[in-house]
Amino acid sequence: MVPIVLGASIVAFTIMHVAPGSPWNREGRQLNPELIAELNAEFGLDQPLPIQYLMWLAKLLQGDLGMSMSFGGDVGPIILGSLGPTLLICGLAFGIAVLLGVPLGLIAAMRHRTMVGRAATALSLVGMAAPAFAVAAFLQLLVPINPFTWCPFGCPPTLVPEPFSEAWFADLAQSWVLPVIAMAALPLAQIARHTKASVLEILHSDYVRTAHSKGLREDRIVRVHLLRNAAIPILTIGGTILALLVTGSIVVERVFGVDGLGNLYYQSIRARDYNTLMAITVVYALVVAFANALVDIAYGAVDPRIRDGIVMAEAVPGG
Amino acid sequence: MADARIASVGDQLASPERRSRGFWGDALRRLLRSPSGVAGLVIVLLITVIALIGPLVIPWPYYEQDLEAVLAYGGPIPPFVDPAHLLGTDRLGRDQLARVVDGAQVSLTVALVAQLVVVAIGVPVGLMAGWRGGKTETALMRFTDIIGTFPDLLFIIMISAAVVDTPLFTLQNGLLTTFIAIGLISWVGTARLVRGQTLSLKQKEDIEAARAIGVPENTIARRHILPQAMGPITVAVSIGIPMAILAESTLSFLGLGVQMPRASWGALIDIGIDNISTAPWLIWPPVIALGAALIGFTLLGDGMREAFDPRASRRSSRRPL
Repeated sequence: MVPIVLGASIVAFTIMHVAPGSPWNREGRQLNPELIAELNAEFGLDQPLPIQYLMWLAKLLQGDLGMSMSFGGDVGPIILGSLGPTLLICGLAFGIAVLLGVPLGLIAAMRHRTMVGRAATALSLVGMAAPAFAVAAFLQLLVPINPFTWCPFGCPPTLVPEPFSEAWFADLAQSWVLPVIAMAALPLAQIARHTKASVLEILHSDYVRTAHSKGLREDRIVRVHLLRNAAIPILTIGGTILALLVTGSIVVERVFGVDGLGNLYYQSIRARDYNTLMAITVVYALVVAFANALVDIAYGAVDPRIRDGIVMAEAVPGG
Repeated sequence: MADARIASVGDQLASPERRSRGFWGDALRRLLRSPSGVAGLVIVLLITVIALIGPLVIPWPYYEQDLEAVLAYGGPIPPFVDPAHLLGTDRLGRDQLARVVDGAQVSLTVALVAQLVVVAIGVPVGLMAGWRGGKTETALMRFTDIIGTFPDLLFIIMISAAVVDTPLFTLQNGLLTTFIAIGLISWVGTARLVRGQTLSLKQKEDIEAARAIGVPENTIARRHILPQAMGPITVAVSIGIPMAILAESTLSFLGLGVQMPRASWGALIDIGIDNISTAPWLIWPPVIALGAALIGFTLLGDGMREAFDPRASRRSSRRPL
């Protein structure tokens, strides 16, 4: 966890500070040199870069994320406020991608060479051509109302319907559904394709053949022999899926006007808001580290051989 | 490339009953025998041909405004279509067909050049790490891990957003920085792959023999290890292409990639969303083009993987019980 946060923050810090521009001289804003010097001194930007990074790190360890350079106020609350919508959309999209993607891939593999199997394969292939912004564009064609007009997230507080009223539910359904579908399409397809490949591999293994010849019921073979063994290779794309969700959120939040972390990330880079950007980078790095840890735990949960340290993940026999 | 060494690898890989045509020949034959590989190849060739020939055939350059046909209808119902602009025009009177074709050129260029950057960085890093071992390996692979654990596109977006208003960015309408941003981050997978290949090839008898007769270390790496790793590298490149196209269109969609007057599918989709109520026909062509390119290159990548790893493809093509 520590290496990922350190590494990502160093790379982000380097990219941002090597790039030209500063938080104070964006287009349309003219500050006089004395004020810029004063601001630089206040935020420590007049120090050499390594010192700046170490100062930032020291403050981070004390739980101080610093002041935002463009949004006003402390970075901490700004990020906490944007975390909710992003987590909700990403979480829902991830759930849908897993719950639909795994069965789709399973069908594509089990009914390989039949019409159903081909249809499932084709469906997952269509999903591969569906990056979040393309789906978002497509959805806006299908939905008769232009989503921009019904302010899914950015409504001023007076316009927000009373919680748990009928209008609230309707609004919730409409405003969450589109972003979530847009986010879920590509991860779903990736999971389906990966599931298909790993199930196909195991389908020809000796132990599945044995299970068949023992006369075991089909559903038991699928549950016990196929899915558990196929879960290992499926788990390995956890990182890819996470990356798709994180980057998808940047695009989807911009299309649907969500005030989430992805949108904040984009804005803080454009504004050269170093403190906000570094804090978001830390959040992303923590999410990545956390997801990696979850995947490792899941490996152990599905495969006792890994839990007991008998084999490494890549040594699991495939067929 | 077709030296004796590669041919001998081809012999090992080929099934015993038929004559080998060399490593690349065998791979090509296997690619042409897999339906998905052929489908991908056809789509990719089609897009390439359209990208190359399109600008010569379409009477409108991608940047030219036809001020007499601003927002010309380009919907699917033929009678209303302006024969001069088959897919209609945008708010500035630019021909949508010409712009989508230019988007194809941009996407293919970015994908190929970014992959060149990826190979140029990833292969030496992986080869050096695997071959030298020791401290070099540790240092290089730690560096790779630092970049590799973080989602690629976040760094790519960061680099592009950081250079977006600079003079460097305006060179080549943003194409140059897009190549650099994608290439600088995406080499990680290739480096890991090449290192893994090098580590396993290092153990083989022919490498041991080369060492025993005193071939210089660098020569072994260049002349013996690298050619044998070309198969997996080719596969990695072909799998990397759809990822690069996706990254480029995402960047352009966010306004950080290819700039006006050049067209990019991502930027065209952005324009399409903005004009969805006034000009709904603008959104379809770039979405379909991008989708076709992603599917085509993905299928081709799958086909390549099977073609270069016959063991895996034979296993999965065995009939299930």
